[in-house]
Amino acid sequence: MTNASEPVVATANMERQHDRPESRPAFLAHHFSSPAQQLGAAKLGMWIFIATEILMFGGLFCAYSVLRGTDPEIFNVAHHFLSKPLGAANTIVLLFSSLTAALAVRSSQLGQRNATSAYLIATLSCACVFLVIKYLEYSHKIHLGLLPGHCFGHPWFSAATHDGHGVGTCLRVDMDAAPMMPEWVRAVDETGKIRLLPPRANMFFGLYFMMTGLHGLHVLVGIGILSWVLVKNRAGAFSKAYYTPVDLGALYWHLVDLVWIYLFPLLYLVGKPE
Amino acid sequence: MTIESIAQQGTEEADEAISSAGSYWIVFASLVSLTVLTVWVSYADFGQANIVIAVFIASIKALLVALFFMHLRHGNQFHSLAFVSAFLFLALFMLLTHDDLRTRGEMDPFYGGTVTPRSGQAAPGGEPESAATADMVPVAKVVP
Repeated sequence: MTNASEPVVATANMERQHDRPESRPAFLAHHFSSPAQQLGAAKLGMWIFIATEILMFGGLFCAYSVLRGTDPEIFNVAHHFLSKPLGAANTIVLLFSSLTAALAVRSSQLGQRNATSAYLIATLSCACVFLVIKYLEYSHKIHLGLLPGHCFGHPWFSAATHDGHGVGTCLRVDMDAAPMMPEWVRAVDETGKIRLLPPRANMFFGLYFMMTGLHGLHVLVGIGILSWVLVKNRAGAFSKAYYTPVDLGALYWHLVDLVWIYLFPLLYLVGKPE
Repeated sequence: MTIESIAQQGTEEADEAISSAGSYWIVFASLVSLTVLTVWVSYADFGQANIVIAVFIASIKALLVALFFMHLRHGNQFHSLAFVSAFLFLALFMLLTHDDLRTRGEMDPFYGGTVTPRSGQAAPGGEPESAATADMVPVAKVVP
């Protein structure tokens, strides 16, 4: 076949498709020649979006690596304030939600609408459990005064005390030498031991709240997307031939899982054990 | 080859083979085992290797999720390319950031200027030469 004839053939095919609109399924957009091509284009777009998401989280992972390289001691002290059991529980919950998301896509490919709905509901439930556990962790840390800006480094908060036992107290050390020096923080860690956190530990908690916060935001968006997919699925919008939104929604959810797979060990597990 | 056949060739693989439910459960079981392993290992101290072990196990888990749950094993190779290229650019980003930080220089405690830690010479792109540092930078340069 010569080069000159190629566009002619393509045009002829398109015209043939347009001549018989009844042969085209309703879900097939007019600029695609086949459902397979439409699914392929949608998935490629989703994968490029996933690549950009990785790069967005990558900025925070880069900040993490810089801090880890310059000041590893912070991690050894501060990781005692993160609960390994809660973090591990959240990991299992998210892994299970990824499993049910994958199974939802599978049953959608097989045309089992009710099974797809059930798996999507399981995924959404796990997402909610994840957020509840995250809420427990956050509120505990905020109570201890570990939120960046609360105790760490800000003179406005130097008098903050949360109970009578000196827990969550911001300590000003060496007042005469450096009156504007950021405070140390005395707080009870996850094992019940009272520890003194250096002022620069706010870098760790800043990273912790930013990384898990951005991830939590993605969990919320994922809940929104999968809820929409669930509603459309119950309405009968998807079939064996057309399940693209289920597939792409699940891909987004796997990305959320993927990020957490790295966040959990990097934040909870890398400190020096005692 | 017509344009359409080329387009078809690229997209036919998107029509994925449907994996069995059992295989997904096996992948999930491996992921949970690796999670238990990484938590268990974190109670032992391997010094500098702690983070290497943690990231290595996390990468195996990420690979399992990408290959099986995200269908990269059966899917279009182009999707894998998009996915892997993100990590390549991330590596480039981190490499250049760390290179910058390592060669940026440190404050010299005696002279106050910015010097490279190894040579003791005035660091490029550090503190701008001011009235206070102008007379000491040449001194710092001759120190080997």
